Parts: sequence; C-alpha cells; structure tokens
Amino acid sequence: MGSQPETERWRQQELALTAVEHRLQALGEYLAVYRASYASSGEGRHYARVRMLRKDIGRLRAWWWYLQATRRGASWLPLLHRVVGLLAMFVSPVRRAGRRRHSSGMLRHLTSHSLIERAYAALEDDLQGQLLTLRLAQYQRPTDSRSREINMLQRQLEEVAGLRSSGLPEPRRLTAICHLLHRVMTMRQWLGLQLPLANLVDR
Amino acid sequence: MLAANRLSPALESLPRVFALSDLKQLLPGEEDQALDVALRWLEAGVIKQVAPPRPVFFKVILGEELDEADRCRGLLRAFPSLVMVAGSVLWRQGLSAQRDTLLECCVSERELNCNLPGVALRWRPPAWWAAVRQAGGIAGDHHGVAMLTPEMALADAAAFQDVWMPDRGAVDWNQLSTAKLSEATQHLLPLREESGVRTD
Repeated sequence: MGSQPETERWRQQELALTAVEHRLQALGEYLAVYRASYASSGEGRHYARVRMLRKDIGRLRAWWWYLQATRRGASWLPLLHRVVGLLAMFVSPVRRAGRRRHSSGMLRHLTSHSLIERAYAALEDDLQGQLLTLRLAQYQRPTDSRSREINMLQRQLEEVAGLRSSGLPEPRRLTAICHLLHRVMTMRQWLGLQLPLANLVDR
Repeated sequence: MLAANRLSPALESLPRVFALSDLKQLLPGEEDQALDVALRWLEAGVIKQVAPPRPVFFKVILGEELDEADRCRGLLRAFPSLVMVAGSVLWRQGLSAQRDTLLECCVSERELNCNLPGVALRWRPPAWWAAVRQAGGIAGDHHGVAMLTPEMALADAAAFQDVWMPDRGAVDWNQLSTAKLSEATQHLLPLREESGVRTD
C-alpha cells in the first residue's frame, strides 16, 4: 500500500497531465483555424498568431514530457535536474506581469511559468463549469447519483487548487526545463525519432 | 445576504458574454466566491451557460436578444475550433438572396449542446481543418469567427449534407469560381467517402 503523500503526488501528477493535455487540445484547435486562415489569406497577423501558438504548444509539450518522465521515474531526470540547476542561473527573472507584449500590440507572449499556470487555471475553470452545470441540474431535479458526482468534482477542484498553489517549480527552473526539453524534442524530431504527443486537431 | 448585496453589482459590470475567469477578475481575492455568485445567477435565470459544461455565460435580458457580435463572441470563447459554414457564409458574403435562420458553425468537439439562441453547431472530423487549409478555404472572419470561402461552403454542404443551404436560384453563381469549387470538392472527397455519403 502506498503512503498518503505518495498517493497525493501521483494524483497531482495525473491532474497536471490532464491540465496540460486539455490546454494542448485547445491550443491545437486554435492553431488549426489560424493555419487555415493564414494559408488562405497570407496575412501577417495570422502568421504571427500561428508562430506564437506553435511556440506555446512546443513549451507545453515539453512540460508534458517532463511530467510523464517524472511519473515514470525516468533515468535521465537527475541529469536534467543538474543541467537545469546550472541553466536556471542564466534565465532572466520573470517580470511581475509574467508576459511580454508582442510588437503588434495584439498578441501576448507568455512566459513558460504563466503558460503552465494558465493551463492549470483553465482546468480549474473547466471543472468549475462542470460543477455549475451539475449544481444547476441538482437544484432543478435532485438525484443521489448527481450529488455523488458533485462531491467528486469538488474534491477534484480542491486538488487542482493545491496543484496551482504548490505544484509548480520555481519560475526560472520551470523555464529552463521547458526550453531545454523543447530543444531536445526538436532535435529528436530532426532525427526522425517518435515523440509521445497528446492528440491535436490538424498539427 | 450582506455578501450577496455587496456582490450584486458585478453582473451589471460584466459584458453580455463573459467567462468565469472574467468574473473571478471582478472579485479579486474572492475567487472562490465567483463560483457561488455564478451559481446564484444561473439559478435565478439571469445568466445561462453558452454551451454546458463550458465556463462561458451570457446574460439573459428580457426583450433584448443577443446580437450577432455577442453570439460570435460566446461561440469563440467556448469553441476554439469554430468555423462558420454553409448558407450562413453565403448570406454574410452577399452570395445568397435567402437569409439563414440559424448561424451554422462547425467544431471538432463531439458535444454540440449550445444554449445560444439562433445557433446550430455541426461536428467535423479533425482532418477537415487540414483539408480546409490545403484548399485555402477560409475567407476572412465575421466578428472574429473564421468563415469558409463560398466554394468551400458549397463543397462542405455537399460532402456532409447536414447543413442548411439556400435554394439554387437564390445563389449568385456568377461570383463563384468553378475551378475553386472543384478544388474544394477534391480536398473534401476523402472525408466525404469516410462520412459514408453516396458519391454517385
């Protein structure tokens, strides 16, 4: 039987993976529409959006890979942590707002920390949306099974709140992990090696 | 009760279409309250979820229908893959003399439940977005919602046969390119075969 903290850690990792997968799905859908718009119009604003979304998706995939590796206890993690420890010293500190404005004034470049935090916040919002749908139905026609579903969702929400408050490493380390693994993934792609990917609409 | 009164002005300060995250921003430091406030508004019927269970809402105001910009905004916030199709495209691009009664859009999500009045959602397989891209099948946007080109809209309607199209006589065929229509049809052909529509 696993100890309580270990079970909790496993559950947090699972939720973090779900959050990143959901966000990847949403960004992939935006990307599919922007790519189609750019292919049809060739307009620069669509190209800028496509570029930015690709960058965000790349960093999210890198984080997803890191989470997967952590869960599996991958043998290369200690090495990664040592390299990240060194690289993190050179990563510029996160600005207070956590984002930089794109030159177009329309688009915003998110720091890796903000990007991941937003993925977790989006999962929290989605679960809250589900909770509201269930609670409204329960208010109109109460049932025992729905009541159980509501309790389960509430527990999940508490876990996601915990994930947001304590499930992210220090911003510099997180940035270093995302950038390093993103580059490794790009190299693996060049070498024709398969990468574990979450499903996306029209990659 | 006191808390409810303190929070009540928040609904007026929100736009007609808003997300849960907008409400949270209105209640800094009281984000947990946002859920209770939203539930109270839903129970009172002053707001509805755009597409349950997505955390996007619109205000219900008696005698004030949602305008097209708000409907598009609501759909865009709930469905990232949204693309306008069919007769809705032809009318908005001035190629049809008949107006659509429902704004028809395609999404990649399987859950098509939508509370927005005057809107119909259709499902398309993920490969559809790639086909649209390869055919250069997007012609700008309407309140931010990407619209198919008229040729692509016709090809899509023929391929999937689940959308409304105006009568043949109501379409201005002079504005349509036969070459583009043929190209769009070619790109959608594999999907048409997959969807089991008879091609003879």
